[in-house]
This record gives sequence, C-alpha cells and structure tokens, in this order.
Amino acid sequence: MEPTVTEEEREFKIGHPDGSTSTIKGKVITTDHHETDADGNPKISTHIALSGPVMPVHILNPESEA
Amino acid sequence: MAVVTHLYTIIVNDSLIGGVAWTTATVNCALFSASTFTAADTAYTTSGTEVASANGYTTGGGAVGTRTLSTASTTPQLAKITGAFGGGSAGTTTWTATGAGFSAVAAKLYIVSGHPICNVDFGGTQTASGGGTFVITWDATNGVLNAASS
Repeated sequence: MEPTVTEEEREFKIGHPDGSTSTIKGKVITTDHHETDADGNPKISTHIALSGPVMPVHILNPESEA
Repeated sequence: MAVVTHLYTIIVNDSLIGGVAWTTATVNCALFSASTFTAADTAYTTSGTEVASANGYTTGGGAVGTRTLSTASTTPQLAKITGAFGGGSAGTTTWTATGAGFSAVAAKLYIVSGHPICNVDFGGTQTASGGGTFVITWDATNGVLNAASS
C-alpha cells in the first residue's frame, strides 16, 4: 500500500516579548508508511516545514519614531 | 491547530550586546513533550519537559550544524541554518524514531552552554515511530533570525 500523506498548511504565530504577534506560513506533513517494524510498531513520519523567520528582530531607529 | 513560535527576551538582549556568535557557537535543537514558553527563561530546560532519551531521541537534541549570516552591508540580516542533523538534506534537523518512537509538541533552539534562542510550538502533538523520521525544515530563504532596522 502506498504511504498516506497528510499535508496541512498552517500560519505559525510568533510571540514577541512586548505581547505583539506576527505570523509566518508553514506546514506539517504526516506520513503513514503503512509498514510496521519487527515489534509491530507503525512506521509514522512527521515533517514540520517553517517558511519564515521564527525570530524576527526589528531594531528601531530613534529618528523613525519621532 | 496553529503552530506558535516564541522568542526569548534574553537572546534579543544577547544580540544587542554581542553575546550571540551565530555562526560559531554550537546551536542545538531539542524536542519537548510538554511546552511552556516563559520569555524570561535563561536556559532551554527551564520551562517545559524535554522528550526523554529513548526510541531515537537523546536529551539535549542535536547540533543543527552550519549556520550563515548575511554580508555586513545587507539588511535585513538573515541568520540561516544550512547544516543538517540526522542525515537529512541541508537545512533540516532529523531524528529517526525506533520502536514505539516519541512525540513532541515543541522544539527549542538553544546555544549549548548558553541561552535559549526560540521556542517553536507545533500546536499539537506530532509523532514519529517504527523507523519513521521526525524532520524540521528551517526556512532557507528568510532564515531563523531576521534582524532589520526601521
């Protein structure tokens, strides 16, 4: 049997120390290989793909805040 | 089921005082079975519960390998992970789960013998087992850390 692949696109929320949030795109891909090891454990794989910086740092120029 | 990513206050402070040697420090990625993000944490293990050493995972996680930084004249500065842990392709961190495997709800990047960098909450329990892989792919275009002035 061919592996069953479940792909879910997600928005990854980024929390900042000041309480604000931003988001990046990404997805979680789960694969059921429909195989088992010698002890009968199912072969399952997970892939988390991040599409964006998980740590954006913005250094403010004081003049831009005036 | 959203994935939530948090950054630590202390790593922002480190960035400003020059305490982060992004390209030369040893940076590990660790998996957590219970995750609580506390911005004031100064060690990656302070909050949450790391996945136990068994079935393909070893506490402490794995060294993510080579990291790069934009040239000095470039903005924003992009700090990327281009190395590989666990035998996967460039820019991936991989564990191969044996037996019953393991589950994780979050990952943390941290500097070995240093401070935590960021916490990635998967928004739910993710599992690998029976010879399957648990892979995190870091963004190859935007990097992990994106620092810009404004």
